[in-house]
Amino acid sequence: MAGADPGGDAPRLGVGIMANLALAPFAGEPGAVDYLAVTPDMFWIDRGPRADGETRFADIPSWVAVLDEAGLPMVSHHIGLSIASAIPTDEAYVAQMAAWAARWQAHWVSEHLAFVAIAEGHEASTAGLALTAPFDRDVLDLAVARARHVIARTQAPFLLENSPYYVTFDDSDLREAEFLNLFCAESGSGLLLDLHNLYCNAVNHGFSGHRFLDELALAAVVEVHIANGSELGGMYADSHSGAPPEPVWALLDDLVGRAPNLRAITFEFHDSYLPQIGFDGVAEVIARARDAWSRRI
Amino acid sequence: MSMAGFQRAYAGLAASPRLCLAVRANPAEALAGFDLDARELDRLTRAVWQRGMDANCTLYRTTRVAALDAVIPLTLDLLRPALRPLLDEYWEAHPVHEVRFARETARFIAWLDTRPATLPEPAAEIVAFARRELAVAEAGLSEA
Repeated sequence: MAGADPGGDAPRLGVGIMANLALAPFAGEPGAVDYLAVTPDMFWIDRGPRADGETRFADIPSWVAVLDEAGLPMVSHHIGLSIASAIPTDEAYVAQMAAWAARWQAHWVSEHLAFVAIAEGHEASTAGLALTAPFDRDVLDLAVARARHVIARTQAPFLLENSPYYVTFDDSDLREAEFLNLFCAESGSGLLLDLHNLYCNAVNHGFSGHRFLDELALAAVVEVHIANGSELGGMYADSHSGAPPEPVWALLDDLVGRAPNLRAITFEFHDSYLPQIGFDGVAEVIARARDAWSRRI
Repeated sequence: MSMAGFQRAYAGLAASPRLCLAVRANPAEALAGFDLDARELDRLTRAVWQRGMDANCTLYRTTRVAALDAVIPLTLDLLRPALRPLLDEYWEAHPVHEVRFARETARFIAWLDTRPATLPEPAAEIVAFARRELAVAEAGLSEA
């Protein structure tokens, strides 16, 4: 049974790619991809919370030109909201999220389930990497309140991405899937289900990704990410290193038949790996994702 | 307030393998500077024994190296003979990552300038070159 659709009026976009400068020649070809997923934080300079409000954020012109030239539908995928941080919301950042979404008519905005901002005395500083908090009720309440605030400010659907985590807190109040389900239900948000993050966690912590899908309220899934990873000190890391491995394709095949509100499949890879995969390799990933997309319900 | 203390301590562990080892040896003493309740102290005490904490430490270091490499790659190459101990020392002195790459790099260069004896020779020229490389990167960013 289909649940509430957190995607609102957003269209079904198809198969897209995470935008970066190296991909501009590929993404600019007509029909190469159906949309761009954009990490806006890569397209602007942020001079920090202590900067004057007028000048804190400034475009990086060469990056913004990629969006102008592509002329494709866009979704915003942020890395700076720090939705699980136990410090006050960065209101100027949220205002910038809203301004960017309005400027580019982003069909939705998304962020990772993680904290990056931490308290340092009376000010905020950064952890240096995104860390996943325990799946506790108080973290859930905090993230739900912040998501509702973002929805109110941006007037766009909000999606939360499941993150890779390398440390586990096995006494968390909730299981991960339970946390994500409650988050979506209580905040009115959708899920950006990163199948490679799920695969990472399944490999590193010894569970079945397919059973995880069984636990999720899949009507909440609006967007999917696919990617590849690499070995990191005996663990498997989400490094966006090329074409997705077969287990990620299997998860996608499993998902598309039972995620009634799925609107987009995004291929993420880091531009430093372009010499290995090449534009032909990128095109093969897009083609295979489109085949999966054609089998959606 | 405790959740903020927990997040700060968890981030501190990811930033410092030395702190992880100290927590393994004596958790209460090593984490005494953080506002933690008993559950949080217990969680972090167990976390430092997980392989995943090693991965976090590696990812933290990768992130910080990447910031410098994006702005002053040629300088890092000049520092290569002493780079690893230099970075260890720098990160101990400045555990909080500055996400604005140019500011992080400026802070790193200023720190290098305080310890010429630990740099490869010619140390003064390397620091001067680093400042020029940063200036070029900043100019390029503003004109891009």
